[in-house]
This record gives sequence, structure tokens and C-alpha cells, in this order.
Amino acid sequence: MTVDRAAARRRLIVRAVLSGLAAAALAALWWWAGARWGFGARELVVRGRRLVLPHPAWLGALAALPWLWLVKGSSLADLPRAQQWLSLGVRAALVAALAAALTGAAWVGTDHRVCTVVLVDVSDSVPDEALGRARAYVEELRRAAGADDTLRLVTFAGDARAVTVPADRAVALPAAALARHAAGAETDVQAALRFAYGLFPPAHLKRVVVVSDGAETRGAMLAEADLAASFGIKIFTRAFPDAYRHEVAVRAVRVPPRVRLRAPFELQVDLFSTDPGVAARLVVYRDGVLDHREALTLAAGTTTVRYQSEVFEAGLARYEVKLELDGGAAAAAAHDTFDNNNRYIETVVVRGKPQILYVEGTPAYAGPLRTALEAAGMAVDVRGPAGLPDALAELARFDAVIVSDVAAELVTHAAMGALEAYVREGGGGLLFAGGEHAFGPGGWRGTKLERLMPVSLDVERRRDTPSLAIELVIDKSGSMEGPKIEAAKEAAKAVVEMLGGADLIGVVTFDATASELVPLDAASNRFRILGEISRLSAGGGTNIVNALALAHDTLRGRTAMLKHMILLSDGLSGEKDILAAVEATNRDDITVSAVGVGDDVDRALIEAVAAAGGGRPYMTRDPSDIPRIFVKETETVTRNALVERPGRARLVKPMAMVEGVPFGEAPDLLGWVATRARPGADLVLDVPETGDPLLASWRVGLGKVAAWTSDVKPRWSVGWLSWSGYGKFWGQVVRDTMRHGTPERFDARVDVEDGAVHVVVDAADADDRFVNGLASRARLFDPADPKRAVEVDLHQTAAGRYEATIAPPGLGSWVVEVTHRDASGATVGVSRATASLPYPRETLTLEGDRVRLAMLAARTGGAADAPAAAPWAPAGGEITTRQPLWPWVALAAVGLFVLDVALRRVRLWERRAAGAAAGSGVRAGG
Amino acid sequence: MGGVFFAFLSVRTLLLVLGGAAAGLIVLYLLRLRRRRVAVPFLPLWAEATSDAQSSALLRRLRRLWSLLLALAFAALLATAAADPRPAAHGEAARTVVLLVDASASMQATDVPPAASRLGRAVERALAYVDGLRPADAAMVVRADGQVAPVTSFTPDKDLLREALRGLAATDTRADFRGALALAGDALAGLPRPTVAVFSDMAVRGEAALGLPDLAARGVATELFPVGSSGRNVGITAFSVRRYLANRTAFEVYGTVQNFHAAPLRVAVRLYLDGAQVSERLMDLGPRAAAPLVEADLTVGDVAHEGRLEARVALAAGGADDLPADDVAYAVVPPHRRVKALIVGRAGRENLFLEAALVGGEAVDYERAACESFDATRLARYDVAVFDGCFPPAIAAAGSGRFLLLDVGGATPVGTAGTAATPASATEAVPWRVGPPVAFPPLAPARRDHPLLRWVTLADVGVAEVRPLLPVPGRGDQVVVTAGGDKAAIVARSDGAVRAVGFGFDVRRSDLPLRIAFPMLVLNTIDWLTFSGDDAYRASLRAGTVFSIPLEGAAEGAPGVVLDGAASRAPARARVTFPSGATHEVPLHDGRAVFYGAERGFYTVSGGAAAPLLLAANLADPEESDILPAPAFPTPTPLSVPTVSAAAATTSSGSTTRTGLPFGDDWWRLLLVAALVLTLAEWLTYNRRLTV
Repeated sequence: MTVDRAAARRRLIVRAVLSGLAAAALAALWWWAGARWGFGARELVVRGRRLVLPHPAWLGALAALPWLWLVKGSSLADLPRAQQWLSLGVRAALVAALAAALTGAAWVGTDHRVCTVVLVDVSDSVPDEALGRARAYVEELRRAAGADDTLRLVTFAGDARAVTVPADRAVALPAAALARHAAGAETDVQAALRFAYGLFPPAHLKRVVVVSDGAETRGAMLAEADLAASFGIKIFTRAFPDAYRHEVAVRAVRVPPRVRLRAPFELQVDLFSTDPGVAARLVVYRDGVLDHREALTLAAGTTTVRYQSEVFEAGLARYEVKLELDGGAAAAAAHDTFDNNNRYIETVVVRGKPQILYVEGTPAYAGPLRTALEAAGMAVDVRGPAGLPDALAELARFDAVIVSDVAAELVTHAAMGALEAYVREGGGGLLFAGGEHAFGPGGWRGTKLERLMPVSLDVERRRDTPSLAIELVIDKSGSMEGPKIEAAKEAAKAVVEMLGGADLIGVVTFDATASELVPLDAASNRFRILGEISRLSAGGGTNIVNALALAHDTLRGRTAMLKHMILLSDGLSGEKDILAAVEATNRDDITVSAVGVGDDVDRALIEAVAAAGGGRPYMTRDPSDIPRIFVKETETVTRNALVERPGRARLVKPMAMVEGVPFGEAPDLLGWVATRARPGADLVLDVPETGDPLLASWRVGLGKVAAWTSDVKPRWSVGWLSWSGYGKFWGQVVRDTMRHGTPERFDARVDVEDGAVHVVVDAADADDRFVNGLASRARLFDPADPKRAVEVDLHQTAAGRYEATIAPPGLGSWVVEVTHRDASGATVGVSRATASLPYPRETLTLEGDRVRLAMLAARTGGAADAPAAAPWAPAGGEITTRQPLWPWVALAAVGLFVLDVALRRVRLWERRAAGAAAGSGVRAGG
Repeated sequence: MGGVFFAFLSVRTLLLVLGGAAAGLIVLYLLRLRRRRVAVPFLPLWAEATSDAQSSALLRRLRRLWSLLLALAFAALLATAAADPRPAAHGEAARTVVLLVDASASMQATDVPPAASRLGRAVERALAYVDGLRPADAAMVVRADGQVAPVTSFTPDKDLLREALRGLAATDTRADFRGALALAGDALAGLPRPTVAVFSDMAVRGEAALGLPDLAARGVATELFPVGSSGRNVGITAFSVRRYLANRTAFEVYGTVQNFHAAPLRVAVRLYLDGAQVSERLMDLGPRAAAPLVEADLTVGDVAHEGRLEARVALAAGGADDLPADDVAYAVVPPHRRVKALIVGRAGRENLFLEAALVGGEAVDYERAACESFDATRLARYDVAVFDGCFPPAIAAAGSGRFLLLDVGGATPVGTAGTAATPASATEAVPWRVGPPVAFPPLAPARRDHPLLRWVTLADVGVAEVRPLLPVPGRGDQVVVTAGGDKAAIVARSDGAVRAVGFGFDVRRSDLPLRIAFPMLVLNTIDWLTFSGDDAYRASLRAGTVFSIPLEGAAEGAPGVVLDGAASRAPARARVTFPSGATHEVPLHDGRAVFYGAERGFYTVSGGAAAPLLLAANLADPEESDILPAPAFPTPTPLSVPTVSAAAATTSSGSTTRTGLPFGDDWWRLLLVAALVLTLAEWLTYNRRLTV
């Protein structure tokens, strides 16, 4: 027995070693195979069928097979040897099946199911009729689909949206299936295609059907074709040209990039009509004035109209082109779908002399400055104060505006607002020139334009200026109730604020009786005085004479170098004693000004009162003017800002605007308005004796404002008019202040692409060397409303080339102005160009582009205008599918296991026992 | 709570399989194994032979039961695995997820080792995210680069998602996140629990960061998985070359080299023309500073040569920055075509002054023709025609052409051999009528800024006689030089496609040819006549945009297109060779080849009658080169950043969805492995008679 056990042990060791070697060999084989082919998915061909093993590394489990043999070698199972070998084989098959199943084996199959994503264009350019046809076409596509095929529906314009399609093909599409999008003013086929990529279910052939007119306004569908093709997508297209809309439109207005002043040029208008023989009229306005009118008959397609135009003012000329159909609404209904594309606006940059608007308080004295400016090469438009435009569009064509000796009361609020916008947003130049009615004496304090001035009007009274006693005589009768009395209170308060502390002020109010609302007191007691003024309220009748008498009595007893009354009433009428009362005040050196407010005031009487009182008459219908009138009147009566004595101009800061002007030879000026230079302003000239500014300037927003505190007329400047430097001085000052102070040096080109304005500037110097390193900034603005503006920096893209793309803030005719600065920050040039986006591009693209659609289809292997069955045809295409094989292998393993158990439980053969007699003996339990 | 569902077998089928297997096994175990025949010498030994069995009967019964249970368990494991059990959602509805993977140029940055690039790291994180998806979740992979595209549809198949993610590659383009987020939002509209997971380096700045849609406002959950951290990059953000406007034989290179690193860097910039280095310069760049790269007055021997220019930037100290995509830039030196001129003059009256002036131009070739035997059809072969003493009748009515007419007043129509026709006899064929002659008038420039007069001084030029030209209104005439104060001596016409310059005097009867001004005037005139914008400039393109390349002589049409049943038009395609060497045919529409270029390098476009066109494309995008991740993703509503480890992604609810098992959701594989282990173990126990 000992020998047998030792032999058995030896056999076991041998088996273990062999098993280990076999396992190691299998493992090495597995490792080698992995290193050779990788452990990634492997595909085999088994009897013509493709079998994929996604995880072949699991075949390494076969290395366990020697384990079965090893164990079997020392088996205690009481089974015939053959049955044991059979059992080993079955168990090995079971292990192999498990290893095979673990690889995730699957059969690779093919299928021909098709998924078609239908993209239906619902943009504005597609008429309802075409949408109806598209709907019918989608239904055709649904019917043509195979049982296993899938249809997905997407509507698109500027964006894309998936639409649920009823699963039951017998159910029609919902009525709202092809509803239009809010973003209908654009057509982006490219975005719709990208949206479609995500809609394909797995294991389907991919098809896209684009139902569109092909008039894309955004994106590039042709560039998308390659990507679609790389995804295995075939694109089919469908258009319904016979259902396209009827349309007439102004398609383009072409003008030369530069137009010279008074030089005829050809203006070309491209008109479009879908229908032949449409009678229409072309009307062209230039800056609101009729420029051309022509009756014509439009042919189908593009009709070009040319005519000679001419511009008479430099700057910007705005052409508005209108196409009107003969036949009114009936013709429009028959031939025109969109009316917004019947109008086109184009702005032209007109080179010429700088345009100067010179608003002179006394136009008769405008000659000297006008002559000087014209001699300096400027076109000067002289107007009286009433001629100051109150519309920004009208101001926009001027390069500078001169406001000379104009009282603020003569300038409307609208005009002030326009001037402010003209300077701040429009970049215009503004020059205030002095005089008796300018600056403070002109009532400009507190106005919105005062903030623009480089000088402050808030001048402290000089010590030698005589003090002032002023009585405000204010009507508080019942008719003054409401805005009038409130405005009167504001006016009175404004007067208090303006006075010096030593000045005296009182307020007498009257209705049926007169009373002293504010006893005459030093203006330094402002808080008390203002509080008392606030108590002013209306009610009762009107008794002016008593009020005048009361104010007269009060002033008469006080000492002041100037005594003045301001009478305010809305009901001044035929009281006979008024003039007598006024004349009585006059005898005591008290002056009276009269302010009439409302329609009921006797204008003649107001003027008579002012004349008798040695004051000034004022009439207004608008109560809101009262404070301004009081301010001006107070400034006038104090005259503390006017300095009327000889003075010399002294150069304080040698700036470009006065370079080379011989001030040493300049005669004295005879007067000026006292002001103070504001912090931040450039004080160029002053009067050395008083330090009062004569000339100051600064930048305001995009524009520049200058103030000349003397006048430009033969009064204070009478000596200058004959001075040799007069013309040079004013030419330079105005040129420096005006908008076009920077030379237009570099050409700008503008293209409109995808709704954005692309600006290209080429900068080359006189020797045609490229100018590099400029800091260029473009401003795109609407000349009619400079507040509609966008600013972007240009980037240098090549030697001397600067580019930017600007998204305009809307539709319109745009001007692009590029300012170039050198490394020192100095402006070295400007470039100008115009761009027009008159209406949405969706209505600009009037004809469908079927060729583009067809090219899109051809690029991907699809077809244009194909029948509904075409997208569903596999056309040789197939998709691969994976049929899992491993579960079947696992189930087979179950069967193998049952077989294995059966082999253990059923003895197939009798074991041959050594020495045993066959066919005898007894059974033993197993 | 959710549970389990079976993907391959129904529960009923599974029960049938299990029942069948169990029944078979039980029956087999109920069988009593046919006893082995044992021969004994005599009967008393039988008792000995059976005594062990009788004494361990209970043990044997237990062992049989244990074996049966083991067999049943094994069969259950196999059958259950074959049914492909999967975990159902646990208390949450299925999610729909868009995996938005930034594949822009900045994702090529190599600052995320051991991953090869930021994109590689992003893909790793996305794969982890996919692992964490529940079986009922569906996801779509969207590639966000210059050409946003979904690369899968919505699918719960994680293998497909993984395959798509692994197939992503970063391009030389800027990510269009505006389009990508819009696409994600549109695709998720109406789907359950919409989620967008963004895998990006957040290097999204400037224009690319503007106008991003607010998906959170549309009810879409957003998650951000940032990658990358470095900003150590220096790149060429602009590069182009341009011939001078006046001297077309030389060109100027302009570029911008930009340091995006927070520390100063010294870099070396080298220029190569057709592979040969032409310059090298060291540049010191401050922190996050840019410097212009200007190389002026470069020339090549042959002006007609089309050169390939490359600029390479490298750290002077050696090593590489984190983004190689912007270290090389390309530009094309456009060829300057020589002007072909035809001089038409009277026989025996060659204008040697004129020819000498033309010879002085380095890019003008000319031929002569005689007025008397002039063939107008020759004009089409020349860029400009110079008529000296005669003119073809077609000029006035010509739709296009470039003409220089000398001595207009003394010219006769071609084909006539007579002396000068009187001005009055000129017909409509004459481009300009002429006025009465003026003797010895002084010449003066009417427009000093006109290109014809560049570097030209006319002071004291003596002319024996000028027959002044009369400009024609509406034909774009400009008086360039006056004679005697107000008479037009030289007029330039630009009328649509017609350009013409007329001299109202015979240069032979002046001292102008003896002056340096004359060749300048002639060459300026040729330049002005033939100049059609800066046509020689070929801008470098920006990769990641749609290229719309005009091709000269390209035929209009659609390839293989049949419209309205008509035969297809002439095929119109362009062939594009991409920088990678791949060649594709692209559509040619409106005379332009339209295609998307995602690669930087040189492209060759051919089509139509023109010679192949060489183009250069660069990354040229400072915002993309600035690879330092931004502090936040620039969406109106900030994207949430889940706290995830590299091993587990997190759902929007914050719960870890990864199963924690090495097989993920492939439970069947786990069951099969268990069965494999069990069968190997059971083989041992059976053979050692621990089980039966």
C-alpha cells in the first residue's frame, strides 16, 4: 500500500505540474493574443456570418481547463473511466461555454430600416400655399414609409423645433403641426440639419428631407453637406416653386462709395417682381425732398432703374426709395406679399466743404464771421435763433454749430435736446459765442446746454458791483391756480438762488388785495425766504395796482444801487391805473419788467408796462417757461456777468486751434461775459486783468464744445474785425471744434453678411507703405438717431489692414465711422462708409434657391424634388445590427450542466474491477 | 423602489427555463445510481463492504441534498444570467442627458497628465458619467467645436455612447457654445428630466462667450465638468502677408505673437518661405502681452511665384508650451501677375519714350501692333491697350477694357492710314471730344491726390500744344491734369468695367518724356488701369469657419442635378486638398467653392478655368489660444459643478449612481463569473466526494 500511495502521490505531482504548465501555456497564449490583436472587440466570420466578441479577454477563462483534468486525475468518483472522461469533456465544454458567453458574443446582422427626418421650412419667405403643399407632402412621406420605418418631423426657420407625428398613419397631422415660428424672419437650414442629427434612432438608415425654398439667410447649408454625409445621412430636398409668393420689392440701391459735392453721379435702383407687367411708380427722396419720380412697368425678375442725382450739401445724404404699385390694394394683393421691402434707405457719404450752422442772435451782424469762415473753406448757413433745428436729423448734416449771442429763452427745449445729442452722440462741434444775451445774461444758467459749456456761468458777484434790491410781484389770483402758480414759485426760488448774499429780495403777491409774502430781506436768508415762497397759493381776484404800490413803497425806503420789480400775471388787462403806478416807480429809479403768462394777457399792455418801467416784456403761454424768464431777467438786471471795458486777449495754452495766430497784434476787446473755466476744460485765452476766460474748449461725449465769451460782432470785437488774424483765428477755432476735424484718410469697405456688417479698412500712407499698429475703433450709428449706435474695436489682420464685424442693433441705414489713433493716442484719421439693412433678409431673398437645394442633395447622395418614396428606399444602404449570442450560450451551459449531472447520476458502463468476475457479484451503493 | 428587469428573457420564460432545469436535476438526484458490481470472495465480506454505507446513510442523504441545492443554484445562476437582468431605476424617473464635449482647439492643451490632452481628460470624465447613467436614462453625445454636431442620437446604449466619446478628436477651431447649447436645449425640449452635462476647459471668452442661451431658464438641469488648469501658452494669433500697393515685387509680413501666460516669456519666432528659413528674431513678451511681428520689404526672385510662408514660435529657453496648435501659422505670398500691354501705334512712329517707361516697370510685358492693320480681337489677350495716335471704334461703347489713349485729339480710328482726323469729324466712337488747341499751356495737377500723379511733378513741363479733352457727364470722368488753368489735359475715366486714361497732347511734342515724372506717370497709369482692388492680397483664413472661395472662371451649375425634369447642368464642382492631404470635391455655387475648413495649414482649391488656388488657414483666435480656464462658464445661469471623483459621476440629485461593481450594470456577467467559479469549485468537491 505504501508503494501505491507513493506512486499515487507522484502521479498527482506530475499531473499538477502538467496542469500548471497547461494553464500557464493557455494564459500565455491569451496574453500573446491580447498583445497581438488587443483585447478590444474582435470580429470573426463564422460560415459566412459575422460574429463579434466585444470582450474577447474573457476567453482567458479557458486557462482553468487544466484544473478540471488535474482534479479528475485524483477523482474518488466511482464511475467507469470512460464515463469520467465523458464527464470531464462535458464540464470542459461547460467552462468553455461560460468563457464564450462572458465575451458578450453577438451575431452581426444587417437591416434596412429607414428613419427619415423631414425638415419643413416655415419661415416668412414660404407662403401659406407652399406650407399647405408641404403638409400634403409630409403625409405622402408617411404613407410611403415601410412598416419598420420611422418618420420624424421638424419645422424650422431661424430655429428648429421637433413636432410630434401621430404613430397611427391613418391619423392626419395635427392642424398646428406646421405652425410658423416666432423667429420666422430667418432661414437657417444648417442649424436645422444639425438639429436633425440627434433625432435618428439607432439601427436605422438615415435620411433627411428638406422641404424649403432654399432661401437661406443664415448659415451655410452647402458647407454642412459634408458633415451630414460623414454621418451617413442622405439629404433629399423638395421645393414648391409654383406656390411661391407674389412679390415686388426694392432689392438694392447702388451708389458710388464716395460722392462729391455737386458732382452728378448715377444712382441705380434694382427692383424685383415675381410677376411680369406690374405697373408701379418709383419715388426717390433725398433728405426728405423729392429727387426722382418715374412710372414703370416691372418685368418678371430684376428691373434696374438708373438716374443722375446730385447732392448739394456735404456730409451725409439719405436716399429713401419707395416702390408704389398702381392699382392700390387690389394690385398689392395680387402682386405683393410683403410691403416692408418696398422701401429702401441708403445713406451716401458726400465729401465737400465743412458745413457750419451759424445761429446769430442778430443776423444782421453775422457778416464778418461768415466771411471769415467761408474764406477758411467752410460752407456757412446763417440763421436767426428761430432757425435752430430742433430735430437731430437736421442738425446731423452740420459739422459744427455756432450759437452766437442767442438768449436761452429763444431756444426751445427740443432744440436744446437735439443740440446736446448732436454733440454727445453725434460727435458734432458746438461753439458758444458771447454777447449781451449769451451765457448767464442770456438765461442759459440751469439749462441742459449749460452743462456742455467749458465755462461755468456761476460767477460770484464782484465786490464793486452795486447791490440789488428786487421785488417779485406775483399774481396769485384764482386763474393762476395749478401749473402757473407752481412755476411762479419755482421762478421766485430760482431768483433767490441767483442773488448774492447782500442783495435784497422781497415777494409781493396779489389777488383782490396785495400782501407781502416775503418782506424785503437779504438774500443770504435763503432758507427762510424759500420757505415763505413755498406758502404761495392761488385764489381770489386781481388787484395789480395795489401790489405795485406796495412793492414800490417797500423798495423806495431801501438803499440799493439797483432796484427792480418783476411783475408776473396771467390776467393783466385794462386796469387804467397800472401804467401810472409803474411810472411812479420809475421816478424813484425803480425799474419794472413784466411777464405775461397765458392767452388772456394783453400783450400790448405788457409791453407798455415794461416800456414805462424801463424793463423788458416777456410773453409765454407755457408756464414752464416762467422760471427761465425770471432767471434771464435777473441776470439781465444784475448785469453782473457783463464786463464792458477794454481788455486784451492773452494766450494761456498754446493749442492747435490758435497755432500761428498773432495775438500780439490783436487789438483790445471791448467787453465779454464773465465766466469761470470749468475743471477739465482747456483754457486757451483769457483776459489778464481779470482772469476771465475768453476762449475755452473741451470734449463732450463724442463731440467738442468751445466757448468764446466776447462777441463776434462789431460791438465788443469791433477792433478784431479789421485785425489780420481774425479770419485765421476763427477758421482754426471752428475747424478744431467741428466734427470733421480729423482727416478722412483711409478707405473703409463695408459688406453685409448674415445680417452683420463687416468693416475692412486699408491704411497706407502717402508712399503706399502700410500703416501698422493703429488703434482703430468703429462706431456704427443711425444718422437719424445717433443714440442707436454700436462701437467695436477693429483688429489688425494684415499689414495695413484692419477688420471688424459689427452686429447692428436693428434694421436701418447705417453709417460706419472708424477713428484711427496712433501709438501716442493721437487721432490720425477717420474712415467712413455706409451699410444698409432696409428690411429683414427673409424678405430680401425673394426667389427660392433650388439650385442650392439640389447641390445639397447631390452632395450627400440624395436627390432634389424626389418623389415621396425615394427617401425610404434603402438604395443599397444597410445598417448593422447585433443579435446577442451569449444568452443562448449561457442557456446551452444550463443544458450542459444538466447533462453533466446526468452523467454522474446514470452509470453508462460497468466498471471493470480488477479480478472481478463479469456478470457476478452484488451491487454496491455509489 | 425600483427592481430588476430582464432584457433577454421574459420572467415567464425564465421561470420555465429554471423550472425545467430544476425538474431535470431533481429527477436525476432522485434516481438511485445503479450500484457498482462488486465481486466478493465470500458472503461475510459483503457485510464489510456495505458496513460503511450503512453507518453513513444520514450523512449521505444530507450530502445528496446539499449537492442538489448546489446544482439548482448553479442552474439558477446560469439561467438568470442568460435572461440579462438589469437594474431598474430606483425611485427616480429616467433622465435625458446631452453630453456636450468641448472639442475646440484649446482642448488640445497638454496640461492634464497623464491624459494626453484636455479632451482626453474630458472624455475620461464623460465615460465615468456614462458609467453612472441608469439603464433607463438616455443620453446623446454632442461635439462642441466650430461645427457643432450630435455624434449619437439619444440612446440608453452605453457602448454606443462610449464608442462615440472615444471617437472624439479636438479640432483647430473655436467651440460654438452658443450653437451647441441651443442645439442641446432644442433637442431636450419636451423630454423627461432634461440635463446637459458640459465637459469643457472653460476657455470660453470674448465674442464666443456672448449670448449663450440660458438653459436653466428652460428647465434644463446643467452640470459642468471642468478640465485643465494651465494658461502657459504663447501663440501666433494673427499672420498674413501682403504685397505693397505700389511696389508689388516686395511684400510685408504682419503677425501678432501673444503670451497668454502670467509670467514673461522670451520666444523665438522664425519665418520660413517654402521651407527655407528667412528670418529669426527673439521677442520678449510680458505677462499676457502681445507684440506685433512685422517683417517689411521681403522679396522673392520671381514676382509671379506663389510662396508658402510659415511662422513658428518656440520658447527661447527650450521646451514647449501647453498648446501646440497656435505655435505655427501659415500664409500665402500671392503671386503678382505681370501686366500684358499692347501698344498700338502708327507704323514708323514707334514711341520709344513710352516703351522705355514700360520697360522700367518690373511687371509689364508689352507687344506692338500697327494702327493700320490692327485686329480688335487681339484686345482680349491683353490687360491694357495703349493707343498712340489712333483708337479703335469700340472704346466708347466697350463694356469692359483698360485703355490708355495718347494724343486723343490727333488720333484716327484704327485701320485708317490718314493723318489726324479733325476733332469735329470724330464720331461717337471717340471717347472724348476735344476742344480748340491751346499752345504752350502750363500743366498743373487738378487733383493732387489722384493715383496717376503719385510722385509726379508737373512744374515747368513744356507742351507745344494741348487739344483739351471734354469730359463726358455720367461716364465717371475725372480731370487729372489741367492745361492753361481750366482745360483738361489728362482725363481718367472709370465707367463700370471700362477704365481709360486720355492724354490731350502728344508727349513727343513736350519735354515730359525727358523728365523723371514721365515713367512714373506711365507706370502709375498702367497701375491704375489694371488695379482692381487689392486683388493680390490673399487673406489667411480662420480654421473653423465656412470658406467661400471665389474661383475665377468657375462654371455655374449643380453637379448631377435634375430640376423640373431637365437635363443636369454642367457639373460645377471644386476640388479641395486639405492640409491633412485628404481631397474632397465640394460644391461650387455662385462661382464660389463652399466648404468647411476645420484644419490649419495650406489648402488647395481648384475648379473652373483658373489655376489651383493656394490658401492658408490658421487658428488665429486669441480667445481660443487663451487656454487659462475662465473662473466660470459664461452662461447667464452658472452651471453647477458636481462634486465627483474620477471614479464616480454624480447625478443632478447628488446621489452616486455607479453600481460599485466591477461590471457596472452588466449583472449577467457577474452571474456568469460566479457560475464559472462555482463550477470549478464543484468539480473539485464532486471528485473528492464532498458532494455527490
